[in-house]
Order: sequence, then structure tokens, then C-alpha cells
Amino acid sequence: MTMTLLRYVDRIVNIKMLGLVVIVMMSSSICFGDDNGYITISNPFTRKAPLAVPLLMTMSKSKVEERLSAEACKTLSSLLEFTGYFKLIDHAAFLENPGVKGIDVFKINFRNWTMIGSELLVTGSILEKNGDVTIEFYLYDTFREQQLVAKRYKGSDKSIRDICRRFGTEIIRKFTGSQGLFHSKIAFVSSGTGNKEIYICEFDGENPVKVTNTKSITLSPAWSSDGTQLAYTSYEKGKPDIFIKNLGRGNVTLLTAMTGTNITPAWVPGKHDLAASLSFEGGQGIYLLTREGKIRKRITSKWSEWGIDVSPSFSPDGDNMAFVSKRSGTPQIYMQHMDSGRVKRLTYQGKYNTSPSWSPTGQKIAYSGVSESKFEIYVMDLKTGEVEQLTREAGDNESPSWSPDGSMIAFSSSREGYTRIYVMTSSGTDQRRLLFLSGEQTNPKWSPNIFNN
Amino acid sequence: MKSDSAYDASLIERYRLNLGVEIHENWAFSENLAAGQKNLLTKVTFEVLPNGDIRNVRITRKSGNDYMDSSATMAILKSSPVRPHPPGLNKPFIEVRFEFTPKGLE
Repeated sequence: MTMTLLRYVDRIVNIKMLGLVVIVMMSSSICFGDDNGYITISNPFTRKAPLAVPLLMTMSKSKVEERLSAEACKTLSSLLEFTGYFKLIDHAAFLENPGVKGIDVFKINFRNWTMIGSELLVTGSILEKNGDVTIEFYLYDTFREQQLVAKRYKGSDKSIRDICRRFGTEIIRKFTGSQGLFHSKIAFVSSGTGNKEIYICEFDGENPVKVTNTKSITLSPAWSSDGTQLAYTSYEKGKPDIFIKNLGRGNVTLLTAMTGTNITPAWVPGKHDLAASLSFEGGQGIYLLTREGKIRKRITSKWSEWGIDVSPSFSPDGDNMAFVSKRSGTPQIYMQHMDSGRVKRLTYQGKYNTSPSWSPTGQKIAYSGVSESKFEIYVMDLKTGEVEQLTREAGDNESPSWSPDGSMIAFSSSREGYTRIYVMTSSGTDQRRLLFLSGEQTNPKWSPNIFNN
Repeated sequence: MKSDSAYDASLIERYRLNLGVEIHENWAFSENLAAGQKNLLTKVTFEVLPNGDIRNVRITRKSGNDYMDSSATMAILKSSPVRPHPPGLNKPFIEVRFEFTPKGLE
């Protein structure tokens, strides 16, 4: 690779002497800048920050501490790698062991880390006594030899993952200022029991738990803004109605079982109200309901006796709602201003666009649309109207849902045969399967960060 | 004698571009870690000694994002020592000016 590029540059310079440089150099990542002899380097060679996470220093050198050190190292590495932000350096490449040599800025030979290409280094120590654990974690910039984050955590020997999530969140906050996604969960529908039930797993697919027991068809999970309640559609009374499960207490309440079809609930951000698509007036329209199921108003206008408006998704400030409507003949995505009622059609490409999901930053809407008879995930920039296709040529890809920091998207895909849950970065990179469960998994919905669980 | 300086300038120009390739290969930057900020531009100057050692790395224009500035500096420091000066070039050091911009990220 290097030699090829070097020859390429040699050619660029030779050609420049003939006065043809601009044409050739436009395609390179290296070219002359426009002032004062600067050479422009664009397009990073690696799009992840190289990071080393060696074993923690064991303070009393016990076997338990050694085991917990390995667990913390593995857990933190896997959390950070999941984000797609970091490239974890292989332990086999390490030139020193901070667990033995020392973990603070005076004991670390940063040259040993820069030499193996590590730009960031996490060190830590662990002290265990009668099941109580104290962990110190540090993040260093290896080239500047600077400490970026220092934290101490106390917990039990069962809370290693939680401590790693908290420190991982500090690392993400240091760079991005956001809370990241390590305290979020993903709800989804799985058919593993023979019925479609709702499950919840952690953001990285760990610890999946079945949370409904309807023994029927259960669909469309929707998280409340504080992550304590889950609304969903269930056929347990013989037709689609909407229920709410309190995840803390475990009790289920019926939101609405009006005549007809009651589907696709969505919570209004920061409120106890929900929007849902109901058909008691004939066509399928979107209504605003209280937490107790009382209808406050019809949100979408009645454009036809048998019109269909479904799948509401609110902007983070709750001022606007995206939804799917067949008012133009085919399912397309629209947005409606909640106060004025003003409606704008968003999608024009393709004959079937559905499942809008408004990004937490408010600037984008992800959705699935049919392209060449396959469903693909798209993201629309609301400012420019530009649409980017994130999946292609890999089965049907549906039901996108943003992580709470907007950095990732969960979706379902049939790329490996059965439909499963996958995740990718919000730019479409690092697509991978989230978890392994029997049956098919669909309808992922990413929760907000839930800090007090 | 007639074109010593022109010849040197051409050698140095080619040398700088080749450094650009070397240093580009060491540039690791995650757009997400920069909180998705667009249109970032960091300008850096440094000097290369005849043996390829890099010294005096200075940011001459900050991007407004510390991580972006840091990643540009790291790419340069990571690359030291770079290739030695071209044979026949008798300079105590070569000054190099790079501007880093992640444009082209998808």
C-alpha cells in the first residue's frame, strides 16, 4: 500500500512539472492547500482512535482480584469497541504491563504505548475485600502524556460491568460532551417462544429478558422518555390494542381497546401523553391520548373515509411528528407541526417508505424504504433534504431506531435468512448482528439512557 | 549552478508530498468522537532534520475541537522519524506545513 502510494505521489509531482497537477491530485487524500504552501491531508486513514486497555493492577494480588481485573479489562474493551469509535490494540503488542509497573502518569513509559500506535491508554487498579470492590480508572493521551480522565468507583464484585459502563460513559463524555449509550437498552419483538413477545436487552445485546407474556402477537414497543414504561400493541384480546407495562413494578395496564385497530404507539417527549394510530372512526388516524387512554385530540386530519396514517415518531422537542400516510396513494413519510397542524411530505423516492425514527439530535429522520423490491435503511437530513442509503444488497432491512446519543442505529435485517436485530454506526459502518436468540427478532426500539437502575 | 535552487525546491516539494503520504497513513480520526462536528480544519507546521527526526510541531490554526487538533499532532509525532532528507540536499532542516481536514468522511 505504502509503496503504491509513494509511486503515486512521485507521479503526481512529475506530472505537476508538466502543468497537469490539479487533475490528478483531486482524487488523492494529499494535495496542495490553497495558501502559504500548506499541503492538505484529508480523509483520515483510520476512522477509529487507537486505544490500549491493559489489565488492571491488583492491589492485594489475590486470585479474586486477578479474575475481576480480567473481567473489567474485557468488559471495558468490549463496551468501547461496540461504539465503533475505537480500535482496540491487541494485548500481544503491549511492551509494558502497567499492572506491574504502575498505573499513574509518573510510572508509565508513554513511549512504549506510542511505539505500538496507541493514542489513548486506559490504566486501572482494583482492590477487593470481602466482596467489596474499589476500582480506579485513568484515561491518558499517550502522545501528550496527559491524564484526560481519572475516576474511582466503589461497588461489589458483581458490579464490574456497571462500573465499566460508568467509566466508559466518562470517556465518551470527555470527547463528545454527550452521555453516550452505555446506559441504554433495546426493546424488540422475538418469536422464540412460538408467540411474538417483547424482550429487552442491554445496548450491546447482553442480558436479553422477555418482558411480556401475552401468548399472542405483540408488536411496536415504545419507550417512555424516562425509560420506565413500555407501550406496545398486543392481540391478546383478539384484536390489536395498546397496553403499557411499568418496567419497575412489572404491572400492565390497558391504554386503549377502542373499536377497530389500535396500533403503533409513541410517547410525546418529556410527557405522559402518547400518540397512536386508531381506527374507531373508520380510517386509521393518529390521535393524542393521555396515559390513562383518554383521547385528547385527533392529530392527523381525516383526509379520506378510509385513509391510513400510522407510525408516529416525535422530534426530540416534541414540536413535530413524523408519520406514515397513504394520502398520496402509496405509503410515504410526512411531518406535521403539532401546534399549527402544518403537514409536509418528506419522501418522494420509491413507492413504499415507512418506519420513521427521528434522531435524538433532531436533524435527521431514519426510515426504511423499498429499493428494487428490498427494504433498505435510509437517513434524511431535514435541513438539506439529502437522503443517504445506509444498507444495501443484504436482505430486507427495516425498523431503524436511533441510540440515545444519535451515534448508532438498530434495525432488523434478513441478511442471514431469519430476521434478526443488527446495529450500525449512524453513518452506516460497522454493521453487525446484535444478539443470538432463537426465533426471529424484529421491531427494535432503542431506549433513552436509564441511569438509576 | 544555474538551477541548484530550483532543483532543491523540486526535491523539497516532492519530499513534503511524500511526507504527506507517510503521515496520512498514521492519521486516525473518529468523526463520532469529534461529536460529529463538520468542517474541521487544523493547520500544523513542523521541522524535519536531515535524519528524518521531526521537531518543533506547532498548531498554527486550531480547529475548535481538541480531539481533532490532537489527532493531527499525533499523526505527525507517530510518524517520526520519517524518511531522511533526499541525498544531495544540504539543509539543516526542512519546514513542512500541513492542514488536516476530515472532509471526505462518509
